[in-house]
Amino acid sequence: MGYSVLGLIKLRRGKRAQTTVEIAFVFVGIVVLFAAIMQIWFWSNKQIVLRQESYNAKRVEAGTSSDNYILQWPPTYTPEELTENKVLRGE
Amino acid sequence: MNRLVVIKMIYLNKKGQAVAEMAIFGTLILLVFGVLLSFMQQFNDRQYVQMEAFRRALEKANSYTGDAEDGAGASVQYTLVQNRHQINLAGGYRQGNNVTQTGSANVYWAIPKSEKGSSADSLLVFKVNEDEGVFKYNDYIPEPHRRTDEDGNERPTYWVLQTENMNTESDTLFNETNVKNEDTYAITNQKTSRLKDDIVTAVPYKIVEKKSSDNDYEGPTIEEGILYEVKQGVYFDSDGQYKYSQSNTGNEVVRGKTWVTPF
Repeated sequence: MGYSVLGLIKLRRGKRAQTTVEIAFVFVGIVVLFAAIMQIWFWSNKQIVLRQESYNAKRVEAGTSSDNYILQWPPTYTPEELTENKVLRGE
Repeated sequence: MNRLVVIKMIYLNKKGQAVAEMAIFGTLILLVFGVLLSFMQQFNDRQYVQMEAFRRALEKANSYTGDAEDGAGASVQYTLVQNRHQINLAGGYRQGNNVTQTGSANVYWAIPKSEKGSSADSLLVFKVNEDEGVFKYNDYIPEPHRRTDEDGNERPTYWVLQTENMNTESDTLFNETNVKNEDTYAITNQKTSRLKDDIVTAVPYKIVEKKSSDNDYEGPTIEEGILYEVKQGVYFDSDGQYKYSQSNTGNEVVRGKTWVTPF
């Protein structure tokens, strides 16, 4: 029993295609995963800006003298919800 | 082994190649995600500490009355130190990594006092996690050595109080135990972590002589020592965050979970 050279080449070709298909699927998965991670990173950066804006909006209140001065802390800002749509579709 | 069989094994045994690649790339991607998460946490904590330092400085300067009865106001140099537990990619699941974030702000608030012709006190305030130390600058610099005399004229030589870099020493103990019990009915797993973390924060200071004619001149050290020192222990608050306070020194945070797989 044995393989002819032509038969072996045919087998190699067939398996090679299978690997290519598998890699194609995996590559898509990796790209989606990476894009989702980057969306979470963008969301986090955006929160820093929005939190600063909210903080700055209270500066007059915080800097006005009064007999019953109230400490303007912690901030009243509520972070935007991180949803599946935001992470996976960038909406 | 037949040469042909070896060739066949090499060329045909491609099963799971893509899965193995996914495992390798997936690990790298998860590592990138972990690094990004730790950066997010650091940036957030830093922003919070800087914001809080300024707001607390405003509040202290606005509400400080001191000994005199001529209204509130002070020149405040506020330093806020916070120890946070952040992601530790190389450590245990709940071990975390103690990171110190520092923010500082200066506020001079003296309208009520200046209207009445008096001067506002200079304060040095250190808030380390939940404990605060307030120090009056003039308590350390006696009257004949202050920068200006009673008439407001600058003296040729004077003393200044300088704070040095903060010293932080931590004593951390962490261990994790996994217990698995099997009987005829179920498998019971119990995972427990114990964290003990005491931090000593000290703010050293020195008093040196200065000359009004030469800004770069620094004379001999008159006095030096520790301005503020506090020992704090870790605890787990109701919001699910690790925090530190003086009243929790020596405290041990025990966390864990038990799950049962019945047959």
